[in-house]
Amino acid sequence: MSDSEVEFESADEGSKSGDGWEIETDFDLPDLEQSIESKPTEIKSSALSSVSDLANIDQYIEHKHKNTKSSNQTNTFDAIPTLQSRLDKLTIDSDDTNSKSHTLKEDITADNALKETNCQSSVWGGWSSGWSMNSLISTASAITNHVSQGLTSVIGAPSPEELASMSSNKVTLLNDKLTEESSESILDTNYFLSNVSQITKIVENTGSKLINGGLDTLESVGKKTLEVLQEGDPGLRKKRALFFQNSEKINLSQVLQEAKEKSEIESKQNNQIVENKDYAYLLDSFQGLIHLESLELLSKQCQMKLQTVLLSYSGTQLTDIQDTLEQIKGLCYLVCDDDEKLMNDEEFKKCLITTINKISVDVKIDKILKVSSSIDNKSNGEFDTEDCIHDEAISALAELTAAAMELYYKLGEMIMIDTQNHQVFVKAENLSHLNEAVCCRIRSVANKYACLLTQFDADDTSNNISDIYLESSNSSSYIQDAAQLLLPILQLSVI
Amino acid sequence: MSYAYLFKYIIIGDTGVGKSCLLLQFTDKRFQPVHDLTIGVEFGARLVSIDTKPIKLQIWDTAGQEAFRSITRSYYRGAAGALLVYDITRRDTFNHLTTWLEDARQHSNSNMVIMLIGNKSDLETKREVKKEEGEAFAREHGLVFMETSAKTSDNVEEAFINTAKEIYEKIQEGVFDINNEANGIKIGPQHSTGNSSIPGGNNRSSGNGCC
Repeated sequence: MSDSEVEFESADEGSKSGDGWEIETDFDLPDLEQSIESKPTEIKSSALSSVSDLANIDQYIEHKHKNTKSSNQTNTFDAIPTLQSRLDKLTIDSDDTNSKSHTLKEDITADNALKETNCQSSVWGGWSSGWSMNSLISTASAITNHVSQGLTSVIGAPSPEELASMSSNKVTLLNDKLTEESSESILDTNYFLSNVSQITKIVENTGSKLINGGLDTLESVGKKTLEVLQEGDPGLRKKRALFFQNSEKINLSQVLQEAKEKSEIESKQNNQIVENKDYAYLLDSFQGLIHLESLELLSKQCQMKLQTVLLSYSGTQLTDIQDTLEQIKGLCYLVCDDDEKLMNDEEFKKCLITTINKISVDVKIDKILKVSSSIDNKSNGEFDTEDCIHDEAISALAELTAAAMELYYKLGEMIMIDTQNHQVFVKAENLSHLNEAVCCRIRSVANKYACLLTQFDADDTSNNISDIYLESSNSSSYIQDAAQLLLPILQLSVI
Repeated sequence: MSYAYLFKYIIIGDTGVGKSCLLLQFTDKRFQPVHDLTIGVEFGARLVSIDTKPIKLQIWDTAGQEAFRSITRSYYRGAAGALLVYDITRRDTFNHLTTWLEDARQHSNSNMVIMLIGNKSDLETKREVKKEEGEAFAREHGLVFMETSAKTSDNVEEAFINTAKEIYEKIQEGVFDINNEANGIKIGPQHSTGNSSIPGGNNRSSGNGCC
């Protein structure tokens, strides 16, 4: 061992100079020359084949190493079993060698173990920093002995240190083979040794990755478990409480009963929210809100322009214009005489065609007419339950309102880009007629469904009816809003 | 059904470049070879998922004709994203990009994400504008660039979703003030349920008190 220690120190010096492997190679060479003398010829031939194997492995590992660099870890893990099996084979090969040149072997393994230890101390820097060099050496030699006895048969859960040294030990054997052969070989010794050191390094790297990966996985599994346990239960208070409550003997059925009651109350509340949302949600899904919003944008823009234009006028000119604008406003808000007026699909259609044609011929009214008549068809159909009627009514109101929003918006656009605005007063007047028609149609739809509901005499009936009337007035509000938004657009067109 | 955010987009570009077809492909997954001229602005909406959050995209598809330009301008301010479209088979639509971009920059909020789109990439034989030219234009003006085909649906999803991703990232970075709806971003309805069915008549009444 004294020899080895000297060598180790020298090797250590070499590594300190940042050129460890080169120097080690130098140290190995005299040893090899010695060993060759006592080596049986049989071994040479078997070693030769092993070397060719090694060269293969070398290529393989180099290839895999590249993959590893590109962080392809799965490939590396795939490579390990292959590598290991090849190593095992070599180990068995070397057993022959072992028996035949035992003394030589010991020399070399000790020597190589040192090399490995040295290598270990750099790769496993984090772990081995606390170890003394002596302990490293003794560990390495002890393991080398193990290898001679056939370490490959070790099964179970080795500690990370063991695992790491196992892989390095296997490489030690490889090294033996290689060093024995290399002096005889035509190939350059340096080349082989540097390759071998590469192999050892890679094997150790993959070993450490394997272990680190394993530890990481364990850690994350543990963390995840705790996370799941603590979900909605910070500090695990509820779960702890649950365990301790067992002593008070609250039985499971009671807990389940309570949970069921609680969820029933919750779902009832949820249902109410859904119902409340319904009209607005439907209006949005029929694209009513987006059209209203867009109309609002146009309206605001026109309003701003209008103010700017008015600023440029003064005196009688200004009052004239203000009069005109006021007149338009008045026409837009013709008071509807009959609040109870209803309109069926046919009347609605006629009214719409005449009024729209006077406002803008380019605006298509197909959509709102289609909606109106489909509502007519549906409301004449059969309904299974009271709730069906209610839902259908709300949906019809929302759809009709949404179609009206779209119509108003399109009207706004057309008025905006219409360059011939000589008939503004006519337009304003017809706009108010249109407004009335849509509101009447909304009212009659609500009435129709409400009549259908009066056939029932359930607890919810009056609630459902008032709900329909509520949403009907809601619809009317939206339509009034939209009509108001058209006003600045119309007013701007007159200037 | 409910969404975490609502993003408003605007699609702009010369007439006939395929704006409406892009929207139709994105919302309905179909292609209509003959499409009516868009009057004013049309709408489309679709729910997408960004970072596992449901996000509703509400898209204003504008008319490309000059006559509607004043209407189009009204929508810039309320949009969080814009798709600026040209037709790779018509050089003039590419040449007009600068005008469109100026218009958009002038009328929109400064954080609006603009994506440049060279549409009709399926018509390779009729190509008049090289992909590199589009890329160069985008680079020069700080836009995101993509070539799409509304016909084959190539890159259509990506165009809309990448824009949404960019807006989402800006929200995460705090660039957008999500409480200001004028930015074209709305927070989903689950955050504000109560009075959603009441029409906003009161706050709009200022609209008629003009003079």
